Amino acid sequence: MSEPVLEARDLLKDYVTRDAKLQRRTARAVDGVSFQIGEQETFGVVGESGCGKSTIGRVLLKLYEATGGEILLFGENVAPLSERRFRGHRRKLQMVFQDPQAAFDPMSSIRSSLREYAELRGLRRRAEQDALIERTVEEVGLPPELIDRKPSEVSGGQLQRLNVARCLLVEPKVLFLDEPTASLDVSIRGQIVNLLLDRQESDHLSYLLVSHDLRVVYAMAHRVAVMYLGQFVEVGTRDQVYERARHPYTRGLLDAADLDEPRRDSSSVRLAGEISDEVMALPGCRLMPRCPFAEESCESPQELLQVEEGHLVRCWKAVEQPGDMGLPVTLTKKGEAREEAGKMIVE
Amino acid sequence: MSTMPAHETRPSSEEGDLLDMGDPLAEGDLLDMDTPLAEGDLLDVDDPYEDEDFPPLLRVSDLAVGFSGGKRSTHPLTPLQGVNLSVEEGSAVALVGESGSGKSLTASAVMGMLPAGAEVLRGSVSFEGEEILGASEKHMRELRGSRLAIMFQNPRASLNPVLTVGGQIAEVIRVHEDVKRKESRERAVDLLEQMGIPNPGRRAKDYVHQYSGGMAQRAALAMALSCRPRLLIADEPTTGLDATLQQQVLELVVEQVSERQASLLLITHDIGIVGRTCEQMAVMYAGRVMESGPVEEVLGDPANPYTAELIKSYATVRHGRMNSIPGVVPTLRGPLVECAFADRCPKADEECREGVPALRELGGQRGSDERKVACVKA
Amino acid sequence: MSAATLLRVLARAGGSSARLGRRIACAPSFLVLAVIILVALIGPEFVRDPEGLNAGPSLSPPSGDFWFGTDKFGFDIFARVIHAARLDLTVGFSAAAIAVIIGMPLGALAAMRGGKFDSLLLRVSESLQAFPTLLLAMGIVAALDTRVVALGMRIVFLILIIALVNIPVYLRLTRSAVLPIVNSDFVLASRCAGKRDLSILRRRVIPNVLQVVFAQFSVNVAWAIQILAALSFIGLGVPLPTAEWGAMVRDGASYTIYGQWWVAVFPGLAILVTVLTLNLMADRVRYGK
Ligand SMILES: Nc1ncnc2c1ncn2[C@@H]1O[C@H](COP(=O)(O)OP(=O)(O)OP(=O)(O)O)[C@@H](O)[C@H]1O
Ligand SMILES: Nc1ncnc2c1ncn2[C@@H]1O[C@H](COP(=O)(O)OP(=O)(O)OP(=O)(O)O)[C@@H](O)[C@H]1O
Ligand code: SF4
Ligand code: SF4
Ligand SMILES: [Mg+2]
Ligand SMILES: [Mg+2]
Repeated sequence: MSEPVLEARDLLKDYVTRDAKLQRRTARAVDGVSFQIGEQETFGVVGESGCGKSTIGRVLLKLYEATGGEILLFGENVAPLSERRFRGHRRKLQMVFQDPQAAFDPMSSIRSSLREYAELRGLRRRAEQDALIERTVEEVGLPPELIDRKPSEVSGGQLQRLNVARCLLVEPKVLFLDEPTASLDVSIRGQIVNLLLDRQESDHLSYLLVSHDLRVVYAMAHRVAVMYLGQFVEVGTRDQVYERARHPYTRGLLDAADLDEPRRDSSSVRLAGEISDEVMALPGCRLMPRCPFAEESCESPQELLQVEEGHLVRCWKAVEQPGDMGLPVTLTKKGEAREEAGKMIVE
Repeated sequence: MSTMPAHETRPSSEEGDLLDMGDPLAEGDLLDMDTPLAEGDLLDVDDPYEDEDFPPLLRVSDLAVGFSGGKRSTHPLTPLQGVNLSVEEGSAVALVGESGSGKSLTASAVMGMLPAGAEVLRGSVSFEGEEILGASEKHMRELRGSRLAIMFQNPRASLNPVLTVGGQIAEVIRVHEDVKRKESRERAVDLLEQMGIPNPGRRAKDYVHQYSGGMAQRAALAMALSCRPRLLIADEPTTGLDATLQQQVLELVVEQVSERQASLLLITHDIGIVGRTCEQMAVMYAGRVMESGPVEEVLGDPANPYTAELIKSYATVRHGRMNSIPGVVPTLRGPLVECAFADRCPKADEECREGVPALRELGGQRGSDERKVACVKA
Repeated sequence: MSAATLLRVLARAGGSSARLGRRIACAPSFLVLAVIILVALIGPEFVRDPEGLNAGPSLSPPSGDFWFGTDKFGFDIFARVIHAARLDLTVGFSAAAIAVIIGMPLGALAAMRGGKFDSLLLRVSESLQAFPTLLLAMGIVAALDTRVVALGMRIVFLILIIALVNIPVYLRLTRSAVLPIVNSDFVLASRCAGKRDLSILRRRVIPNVLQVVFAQFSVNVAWAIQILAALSFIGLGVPLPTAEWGAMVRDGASYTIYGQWWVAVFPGLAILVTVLTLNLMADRVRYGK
């Protein structure tokens, strides 16, 4: 990979909330996340609702202050910069919001929301701003007269295109896509995905794509991270994660999502039980209460270990005894063949 | 317009007082309403159930619903344009379609809970062989509490935030059965346990906001099942849950419903979950059913181009671009005059614009006689 | 950000208030209120002296001469109702205005600042709200001896008390209205565009909360009028013979059982119509209906 465009090192984010009695509570939403994104690359993050996906992106955009870690934008650490100093970097890094309806001020016209971005681009005169806005809106395949409407008068799919257009106004280098299709119908999901793919090619954009829709991530991402309760549990290229998943959580997710035909064969993994806050406090693997393979050794802290070039897994068992988990032969960290294809023992 | 089903064929007609309910549709006020939809050309479009002796548990035929939209509005909305649907005793039926196609509205019409401003323009809904469209609110309330239950998309909306979860389930049980407070509480805890809620005794004393999303969904299911319904309508019961929890909840719904020998009408826009949960399905678009039949046949060999496009846009693309249906779901104002999908359909031609295709039996070698399709090209 | 800049921002929220203004102007309840205000402003110039002795016979029923009849001193009840409108509306509007001017910026600040400042303000307003308003007002007013404190001062005190108990209402209302907006996606989008807090507050936040605050203002005016009337009714508000709706109802209540209903009914109707109008208007603003 060439020089990374965006890099996160050991990102931490604690939310401080107050309960009804105004008692302080801290919740760690992102717990030591690291990754790099190269030019024109899409890095996908999948994981269930509430695992901290959106938080990663919002911290990168400095909408929320990081609790710890470094954010390198073209090699410069922007984490410690004040809001004023960071403003100069805002043009490089933008975000597409999950819910297009919520991302536009309901009281103002769409044009007024787009103008803010044209201003960031450095255009002072109204006429210049409008010309740019209309051109960009046409580029994403919409009639320019739409922009004089209120957000509520435009369909969800159109609004999501406008959401993308708004970012493109400033010619960004990196886009954080926060569930860009989650609030859209499956039938128009493809329209947005294809638009994003086209723009990536023509504008050499890098994407940080966050989604719980495994299909969208499959169609767009080059590399994928699977997140569970604030941590990455598996990272790899798209094919490593989708075709050769090792972590039980990834496998449970893939199975439940039924990407192709329903798979009910012996290699499927059923995760039982709920996600609870209590497991965040445990030192060991956070999947333990739900994992069918859990055993005593899982109670010690789990590190991200390499199973093959670029493929990391946070589960000692998937690395050392994959056969016991119904996985085929594998290489250990040291790179030597360890085991014959194990007998499938699950279900 | 459908004939009133014979009362003798009603599966459970013990309660005599229900028998002498007049045919609500005969009361005229619904029929001679001065709406564009009441015009004759549409009325004879379809009634595929004309000559059936044994009516299914639920049958919706030619249901049309509109919104008058206030005095000043010149464009009344007509989101349902003649829905035909039936749910057999003990079966699980999926109702799929894009957002805005009228799935939820159909469910509310069945439950007798249409939103304010909505009017039934024509059609009939029969449950257990008895016409319930236009039945009295009192009667519908009785039905809703006992043999007809609905589970909403947002579980937190169907549970009362200021009562404990166990308390409100126990209350429903007490309303329906003559049991003591203590017994109803125990039954509620049992029910929560059956739904797989860990530590049900303690959890029954919690409030909904103390439940996680998946648990709230289970509690809502327990609530819906507490009155032992014959038919459970589940309106998008798993949106907002991640795939692993979604699967757990869906399996639970199906399992609990079949254990009670009840029927399920599952409303969803995710055709991916249909195959795992239901035997029959109906595909809805712009207020009409475009195709219905056994799930494997419909998904395996779609007869209506809309179904085919929907399946295509759902399919995972292994490399490259994703599929989508160009255009958007139309907003319906007034009666349809052509196939509603014609503007987006790859197979559309003049013939499709000559009238609204009726939902007819597919016939031929393609599948069983349960398959119906509304498309001139099929 | 100081409260002063915030006030400047509020003043500049012109565009959105104009839109709100147009919307209110279409409401029928607004027309009624406009008439009431007009009557309060210029009405007293056109009617009899409300405290003019021997204006008419004592306790005469409504007639062509005395539209609403007269009370036991022979005062013209119509004139008194009109004069009282000025007093009641002045108290109502000024109390609500003082409360909104102090409460709204504080609430917005609390929401945007968060942290210690927020929790301190919340606690203070909570303890203020814990007092039963009417009791508080009763206590303070009762302590002001009628012989020592002039009528004008009494009214000023009333206004201040009603305003004081209403400040927390605005503070919490504005805070809870601003909070979701500060954390909403469209405000985050403005921040992604590098917009400063002040500009976001002015262009995105205030226009979106004005509606709720205005609706509350309308409700509060009504509420202040009711409190004044209630205080007068139990004899703690404005003493006779000053014309005030609540005091007039109190005065007339005892005659109603003897069939002289007009003494109490007309001022009572005035309270009813005004309060109802203000509440209807609040609904109109809040729900756009
Ligand atoms: N502003 C906030 N204050 C306090 N807690 C928050 C805040 N935002 C998010 N959280 C909590 O942090 C955790 C991670 O939230 P986040 O929004 O990043 O999840 P997500 O993976 O994006 O989920 P989703 O798929 O639902 O968007 C959640 O438990 C959430 O409740
Ligand atoms: N209360 C209402 N007033 C006016 N129109 C309504 C109302 N409720 C529904 N509609 C209209 O009826 C149509 C069908 O709505 P419905 O909620 O049944 O769709 P749906 O298929 O359930 O979609 P979704 O998947 O988004 O829930 C929509 O076009 C909607 O705009
Ligand atoms: S470490 Fe243990 S509990 Fe965690 S995923 Fe691996 S096997 Fe399961
Ligand atoms: S009738 Fe015509 S337009 Fe409609 S679905 Fe069939 S082919 Fe397409
Ligand atoms: Mg998110
Ligand atoms: Mg719906």
